[in-house]
Amino acid sequence: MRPPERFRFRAMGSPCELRLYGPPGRVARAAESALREVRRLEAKYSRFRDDSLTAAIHASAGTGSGIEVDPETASLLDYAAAAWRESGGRFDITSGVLRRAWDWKSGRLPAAGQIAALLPLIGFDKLRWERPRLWLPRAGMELDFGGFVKEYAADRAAGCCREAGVARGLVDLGGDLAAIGPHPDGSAWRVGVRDPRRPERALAQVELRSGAIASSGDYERGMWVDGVRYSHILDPRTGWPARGPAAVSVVAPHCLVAGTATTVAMLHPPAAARRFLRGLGLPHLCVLPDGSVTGSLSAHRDSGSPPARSPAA
Amino acid sequence: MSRQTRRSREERARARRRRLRRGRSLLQALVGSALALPGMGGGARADSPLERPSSDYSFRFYAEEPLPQGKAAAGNPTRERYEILMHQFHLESPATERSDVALDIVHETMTGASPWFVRNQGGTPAQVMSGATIQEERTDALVSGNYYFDRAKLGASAGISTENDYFSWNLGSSGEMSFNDKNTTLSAGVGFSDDTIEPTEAALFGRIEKARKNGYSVFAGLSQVIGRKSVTQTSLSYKLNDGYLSDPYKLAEVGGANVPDNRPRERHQLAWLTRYRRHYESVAASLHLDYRYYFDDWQVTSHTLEAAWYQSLFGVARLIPSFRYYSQSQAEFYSPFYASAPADGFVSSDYRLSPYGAIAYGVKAEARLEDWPRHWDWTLSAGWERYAADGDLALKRVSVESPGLVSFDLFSVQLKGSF
Repeated sequence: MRPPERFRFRAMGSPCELRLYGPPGRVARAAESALREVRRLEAKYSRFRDDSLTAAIHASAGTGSGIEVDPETASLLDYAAAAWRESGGRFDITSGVLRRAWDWKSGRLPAAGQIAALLPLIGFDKLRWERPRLWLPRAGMELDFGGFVKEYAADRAAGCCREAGVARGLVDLGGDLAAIGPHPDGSAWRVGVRDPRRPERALAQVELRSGAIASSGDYERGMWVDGVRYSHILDPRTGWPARGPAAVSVVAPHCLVAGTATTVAMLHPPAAARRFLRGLGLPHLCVLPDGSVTGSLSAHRDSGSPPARSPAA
Repeated sequence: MSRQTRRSREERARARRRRLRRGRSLLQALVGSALALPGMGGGARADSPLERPSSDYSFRFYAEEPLPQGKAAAGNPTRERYEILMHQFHLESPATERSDVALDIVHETMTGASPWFVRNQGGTPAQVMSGATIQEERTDALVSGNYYFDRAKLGASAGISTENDYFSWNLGSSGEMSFNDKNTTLSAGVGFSDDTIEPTEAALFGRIEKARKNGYSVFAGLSQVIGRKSVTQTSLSYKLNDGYLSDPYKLAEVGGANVPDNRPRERHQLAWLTRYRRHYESVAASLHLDYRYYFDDWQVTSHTLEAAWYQSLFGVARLIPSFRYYSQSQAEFYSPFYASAPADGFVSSDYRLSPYGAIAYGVKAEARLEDWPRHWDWTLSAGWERYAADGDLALKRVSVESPGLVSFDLFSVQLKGSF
């Protein structure tokens, strides 16, 4: 079987890759369309660019006039609202301002009162969202789309490939994976999930035919202060890092949903996270701080083959 | 007492159900909102258009065994039967992002003799073949196309078939829809055909000069993926044949005299086909099992059971042994010969309407060549099959088998290229 065509690029701050099967012309067009879509989303929701929609939203904060958003953003806000509501406030796109208090490279905790000063700016319920108009009532409030646009982009990239006639392939945006379709011989993509404490080992091999997988772990970012590990995943309700699982991976038909599920799971205490994931009914993997691994995917544990941040197809 | 035991089993189960409900409602809310996003509504396509053009040519040589001496009537002109050379050409190609087209052309040359009528020779049926060697040519052409939606496919086809004494044209349309992440596919289709026959040497042999028949067909099917390695498919098809359905080149012996083959002007046919495919990864092989049950209002019922084993070899070749068993019961009005004319006037001594069973077995070998000269892939295959029909092979006891039952050898060679 001929190997797929591979397209590597960098987007949303991560290494990305498309693996596509099909005739060269069609594959090239699909990759171009997918890449264009990823870049479009990156530019539109970037918090680093002055001309992005995010910048416009921030500029409108505290002005009282609000900002009218396009249908795509409106639907993303509806999604964020549903996720905030259903997760008991754990998934909250207004929590980006906490970045001002936490400096992960410094090795220092926030100064006294810094977090307390930011908390009034956080809380999705503090926004006024009446489709298609959005109000950020206080100056300094922010919306951080970074927490879910990458997963949404993975789904969109897979959709672009399908629309271009490519029915088999895999989209990998920095570890958020969306399968377009299995290999030409019908076999699934084999994805290795990395062990958070031993990054050179794969924890399990997951088979993906047309769904998506998203993972969250405390191993890449975060910091140690006085022998205590502070995860980079912050709880919007308290402003402090989550004290939850070491890593979570969830498989769902959409990468967006898989990503939200992993984020919400990471913001539960370890035992509660296990129960939450079981209650979801999606295939998942949960690594607790004590190193134990649970979840329906833990049956696919690997005994020691080399890892993959990306699929071991 | 630990917390675990203090909560009763019922309480724990209730808590578990509550969590499940909450978890499910979270999931439902998320998925519901996700689906509202642009471009997230669809899943993978049911099927996709062809990825690349491909073409194949095959050649088949089909040789029927001569009529056994013991089955031939006295004075029978020849025991030779048919020899058929068939050339088949197929071309398929993607057309637009959502469609593909295909062309099929068949050209066949038939020489030899065919069963003409059955004579009552002292109470035993004996076959009389048609006289001098026949040479016939048939050409068929079919154009078809498919259009693909996200989870569905629509297809249409149009074709013609011509011979020196025969012209037919046909139209067909079919569609399919997939569910359950493409694991379940429902399909249905309709077809129509119009045939006109103008038998050769009509005046000389007192045959009809011209006749027509129409066919109307409909089918519905279901295909289901089971587990990761097997697929099962079942379909039901119905066809109505209306018009001249007799064979103008055949006669039946009634009370010692020969009369033209005369069959009802209507035939309702129903067929139920079930297929099973299973892949065995450890030995790189697949099993194909097919069963077909057929019956019609002429009282012909038949069973076909076919098994084939697709064995991959070294990743570039395949060996495919196969076996088929067939059994049919006779048409109600069939008889090798008749003492007197039946009340409804329907007579036929055609062996194809008689009761019999048959066994066929054969093997095909395939070899593949990939990426030569650049992106082209080739497959060359050759096969042989032997078929033998016999009254003793039928499921129900056959008291008198037709003397015209046939056995044949089929040799085929095929070359396929994808570009």
